[in-house]
Amino acid sequence: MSEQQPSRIAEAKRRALAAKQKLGVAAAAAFVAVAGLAWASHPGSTASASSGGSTSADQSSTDDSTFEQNDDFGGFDSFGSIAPSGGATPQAQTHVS
Amino acid sequence: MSRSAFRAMGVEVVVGAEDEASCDAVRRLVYRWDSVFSRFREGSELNRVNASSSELVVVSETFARAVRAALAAARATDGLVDPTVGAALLAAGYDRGFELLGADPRPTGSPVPGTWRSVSLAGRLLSRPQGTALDLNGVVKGLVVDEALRLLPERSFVSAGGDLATNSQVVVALPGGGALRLESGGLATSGQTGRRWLRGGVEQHHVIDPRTGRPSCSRWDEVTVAASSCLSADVAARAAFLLSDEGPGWLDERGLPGRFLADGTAFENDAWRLALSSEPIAA
Repeated sequence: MSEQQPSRIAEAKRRALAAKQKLGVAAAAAFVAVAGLAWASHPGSTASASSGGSTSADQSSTDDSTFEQNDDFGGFDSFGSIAPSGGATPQAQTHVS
Repeated sequence: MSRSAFRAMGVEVVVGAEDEASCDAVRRLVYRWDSVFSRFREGSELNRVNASSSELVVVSETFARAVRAALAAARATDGLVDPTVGAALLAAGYDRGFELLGADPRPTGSPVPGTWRSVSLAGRLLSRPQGTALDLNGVVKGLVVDEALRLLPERSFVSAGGDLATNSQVVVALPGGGALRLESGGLATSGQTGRRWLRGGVEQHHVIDPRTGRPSCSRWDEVTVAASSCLSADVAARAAFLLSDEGPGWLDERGLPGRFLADGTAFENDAWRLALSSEPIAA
C-alpha cells in the first residue's frame, strides 16, 4: 500500500505535466494562426513576402478606399446602341484628342 | 439638359446633365484622376511609380484599377493597347505637355516596343521590370468617363476629349461630318490627326504601335467605334486604328460598329452600316 502511494502521485504529476504541455502547444499554434491571418490581411504583406529580404516594395500611395475591386474593362461581349440621328441637332461630338 | 465644360487631362471635358451639383462632382473626380495619372505633373502617382527603382511597388487602389483595366485591354487586343508605351512616347519626343511641344531638331530615340506581359498586379502590388515606363492614357480617359457617368442622374452624358458615354439618347456629331444617335454605352474616336509634332524633321504623333515602338503608320486618319462603355469603345477604336487594313474586319468579328476616315473619305464596317440602317438595331 505504502509502495503504491508515490507511484499514483507520480502518475498524476506526469498527466498534469502532459496536459500543460498540450495546452502550451495549442496556445502557440493559436498565436501563430492569428499572427498569420493578421499578416496576410495587411495590404503590404505581399510586398514583404516577395522581397526575399533584398528587394523592397515602394509605397506609391496610401489611398486604398476609393473603389471596389471590379474589372472595369468588360471586353467586347456586350454592346452599346447606335441609331440614325434623324436629322436632330448634335448635343455632343466625338473626335480625336 | 445643362451643358458645362472644363479642361483637364489635356482635353476638354463636357458634362451634359440636368443637375449642376452632379457636374461639380464630375469635375472633382476628373481633377483627382488627372493628379494620379498625368505624365506631366511632377509628383503624380504615375511619375512616382515610373521613377521607382524597385520592381515591386504598392500602388493606390485607383492606380491598381487602371492597371487592371489596361492589362485586360492588352489581353483583349493581343497587346495592341499596351500600358508600357511610356518610353516609346518619350523616344518620339512627347516629353512635355502637348501645348509646349515645338519642332525639335534632335533625332528620335530608339524605338521601344511594348512589354505588357512583363507587368503584373496582385491586389495593389504592381510588378514590372526596372526601367518600364507606364503610360495608362490608353484606358484612363475611358475609365474616368464611365466613372463620371455613374455620378450623374438619368438623361446625362459625359465626354472627355471626344470620347463619351451616355445613359440616355444623345445625338453626336461625327468626324468629317454626319451624326448619329447614341442610345446607350460609349462612343470613342482614336487617330493620328490630333496631336502631331516635329522631331528630327519627321512628323510624329501620339498613337504608338506597341509592335514597333514607334508612332503608328496606320492608313486611317481616325477611327470611331461604338461599344457598351466609353472604355470599351476607346480600346476598340485604338486597336482598330492600329490594325490599319484589318481594323474593319476585327471590329466586325466582335460585332462592334466602326467608322474609318482616310483623306476625308469615310469607310463604315458592316456592323456600323447595319446599326445605322433605317430601323434602329442594337449595335
